[in-house]
Order: sequence, then C-alpha cells, then structure tokens
Amino acid sequence: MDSSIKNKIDLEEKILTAHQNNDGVKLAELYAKAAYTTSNLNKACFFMVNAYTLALECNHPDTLSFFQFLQKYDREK
Amino acid sequence: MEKTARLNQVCLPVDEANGLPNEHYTCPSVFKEEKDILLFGKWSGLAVSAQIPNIGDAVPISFQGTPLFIIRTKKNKVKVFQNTCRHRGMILIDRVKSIEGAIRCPYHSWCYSTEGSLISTPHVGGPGRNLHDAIDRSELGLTEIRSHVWMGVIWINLSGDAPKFEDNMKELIDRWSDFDRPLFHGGKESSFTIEVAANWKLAVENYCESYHLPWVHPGLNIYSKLEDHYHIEHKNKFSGQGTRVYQQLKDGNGNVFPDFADLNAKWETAAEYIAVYPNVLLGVHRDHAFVIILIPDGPEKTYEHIHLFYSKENTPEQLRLQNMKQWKLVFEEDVPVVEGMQRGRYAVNFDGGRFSPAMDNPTHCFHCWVANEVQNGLKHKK
Repeated sequence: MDSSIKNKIDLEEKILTAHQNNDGVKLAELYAKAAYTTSNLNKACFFMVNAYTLALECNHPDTLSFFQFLQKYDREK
Repeated sequence: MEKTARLNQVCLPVDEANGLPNEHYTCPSVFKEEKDILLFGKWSGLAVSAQIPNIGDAVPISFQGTPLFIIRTKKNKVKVFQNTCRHRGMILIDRVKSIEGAIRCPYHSWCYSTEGSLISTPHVGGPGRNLHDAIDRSELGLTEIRSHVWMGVIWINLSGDAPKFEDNMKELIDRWSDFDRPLFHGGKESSFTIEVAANWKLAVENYCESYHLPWVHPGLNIYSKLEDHYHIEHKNKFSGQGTRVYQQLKDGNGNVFPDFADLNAKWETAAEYIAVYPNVLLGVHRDHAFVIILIPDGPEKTYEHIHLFYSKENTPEQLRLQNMKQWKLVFEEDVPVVEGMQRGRYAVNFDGGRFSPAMDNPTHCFHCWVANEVQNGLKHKK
C-alpha cells in the first residue's frame, strides 16, 4: 500500500478512536495534523475548522494558530 | 363567590381576612398562573453560588421547566443563561462540568465564551467556512437571565422586568447589612434536600410564623419560647419572625462557631427567620446563616434545598455536622403539618381559614402579597 494512503488510514483510525474516547485535546491535534498534511485547501480548512472548534473547547495552547490559519483564508474572523 | 371577591377577602385586615382559596394549592391552572406571575415575574431563588465555586464551573438547572445553567465565568462572575444553543435550541450543558475553554454545543458545535458571546460557528457557511453574511455573531450570544447574588443565593428574574434586586430588596438588605459579607458554605455536609408533598406556599406560610413552635418544635421551644419571638412584616416584600434568645450551639468541649465580625450588639442573642417572597427562606444568627430555596414541582410537591453558611472557612467539621442534624430535625418536624395542610385543601367547604390577629400576621402578609400580585398579574395579562 502507498505510504501516503496508509498514513491517511492511520490518521482516520486515530481520529475515530479519539472521538470514541471523547479526547478533545487529541482530536484537535489530529484534525490539525490532517489539515497540515493535505494539499487541498478546502479539505485543509474543513479539518482546521474541526481542530479550532475542539481547541476552543479545551483551551488548547494552539488555538490561536488554528484561528490564524482559518483567518488567513477568510474562513474565520 | 367569584375569584376576585375571594382574593379581595384575603387582603382584608388580618382579623377579618380569610386565607387563599383551595385552588391556589391544588389546581394546575392556578399553579401555572402563579408560576408566571410570582416565580417568573419576581426575583426567585434558583441556587447558591457555592454550587459553582471555581472559574468555569457550570451546573444545569431546570427552573419550572425552563432549562437554565449557572456558570462562574472566566472573569469570576456568576451568570445564569438559558441552556439552549441559539442555533437549533439544543441543550448546551447536560451535566455538572468544568468549562476549560468555550462552551461547545454538542450538536453542530457552535461555541460560546463563558461570558455568553458566540465565538465560533463551525462550517456555518459551508464545509471549512465558519462565516456567513446572514449569521451575525454579535446578535446570537447566549440568552442571559437577569441574576443577582445576595446572601449566597443566586436570584433570578425570568420575566426581565422586575425592579433592580438592590432596589426591590433594599429594606431587607439594610436590615441585615451586618450579614452582607462573604458567607462560607459549610460544604457537602451542610447541604440537604427535603421533599414535601405540598404546595410551595405552605412551606412559606409555615416558616413565617412562630405560632406553631410550642406544638411542632418542642425542642426549640424549651429555650426559645413563644413570648421570646417577634413578627417581621414588610408588605409586598418579605415577612417572618425573630427570636430574642438565640443560644449558640456547643460541642462536647464547649466550642462554638466563630461569630461574624463586627456585628451589632443586638445579634448577641437575636436571630431572625425571614421568607423573601416568593421562594427563599433565610435565617441569620451571630455565627451562621441558612438558606432554603423552595423549588415547586407542580402544585403539590416542593423540594426544599437547604444550605448552611458560616463566618469563616474551615469551621470544625463535627460542629457543622451537629448543626446540620439539628436544623434537619427542625425542618423535618415541619413536614407533617405542611403536608397536612395540603391534604386539608381538598375539603370542599374549607374557606381559606382564618388568621390569629395576634400570631399569624406574617403569614397573612404573605397571603395578601400573593392575592394582590395574582390579581395585578391577571389584569396586566388582559
């Protein structure tokens, strides 16, 4: 299997596990990783919205940088 | 006799008046009228601020079917909000929790600050887009309920149009200015709830007067006799009773609770018990205070949430326990008479009863308030 596909599947599994564990911190970080590793801007913003939302809830230290990512593409203000 | 005439009868001088008619204790539609006029239209007790001691603490509370939550905000303010998301009305806080960052709706994840501002609307403009021209966040903050903290109680005015709490309760705030200071909740062992199969007003009425003490509270009556009590009446606001012979609780070694600082000399032996209309019963003593928040559950059931407060943190645990047991006994002694009056309201020929012109004045004061407010409220509705 192509390593990028494998990485994607791994990441999806980790996200599902974090959802099951209700682990907001982990989820925010995994969604941010998903955002940073896709080359498609719309997909990246979709993932970053999730990362930012969960970061807001758990007061994650990277909240501001997630916000700035979205702001840069006019997705948040 | 028609309703208006019967309510007018309640407001006659105490030596001529009858009490409120039976339907004010048993009828679901009258209960609803009173809920709207007396509980939602005035300043009602909801909870105690000690339930949310830390920043971010949030507790969901349903008040007469209205979902609310109380929260201690990041700015260390106690606030009360309607517990619904401004998007699809989903319940936001479904259990006691600590909010670390934002309040996130569990449905579509709209996020609110603890101060109530809408701060994020995920995907509201489509996937990956948190913005849409039609969604003005500044207009979509949480619905805040007017609230005020006094004597450790979170008071709310759901209708939003009652006079300011400080103005409305000025006379009592002035009367008890000695106790307008930080009160320290005694902790878990200083809270308890009593369920009473009776209309909430009967708990108020019983609390207002000292007339029943010799018969219902023989233990209290040993040292605090009927003649040691005085009435407290303030038309349209509050009523109750005071005693001139309060004795401090002592443990086996003679230890007592520390006094509140700088009290007027009156409080060396005085204690006062006041029903603040509609649903809060308060008691103050030189060394402790208590609050009872009456939460009606329909016309014939009431939860009495009781909390004891002290002048300092870390008072002796055993003494607190002893005090809690003592008050619990007293309040439980009232349950059979309050429930008995409720059953009595099914007697078709009961006319609301008469008042002792010497002893029932504070209770009559409350009846008169209910009768007046209900009549005014119904007129206003028309």
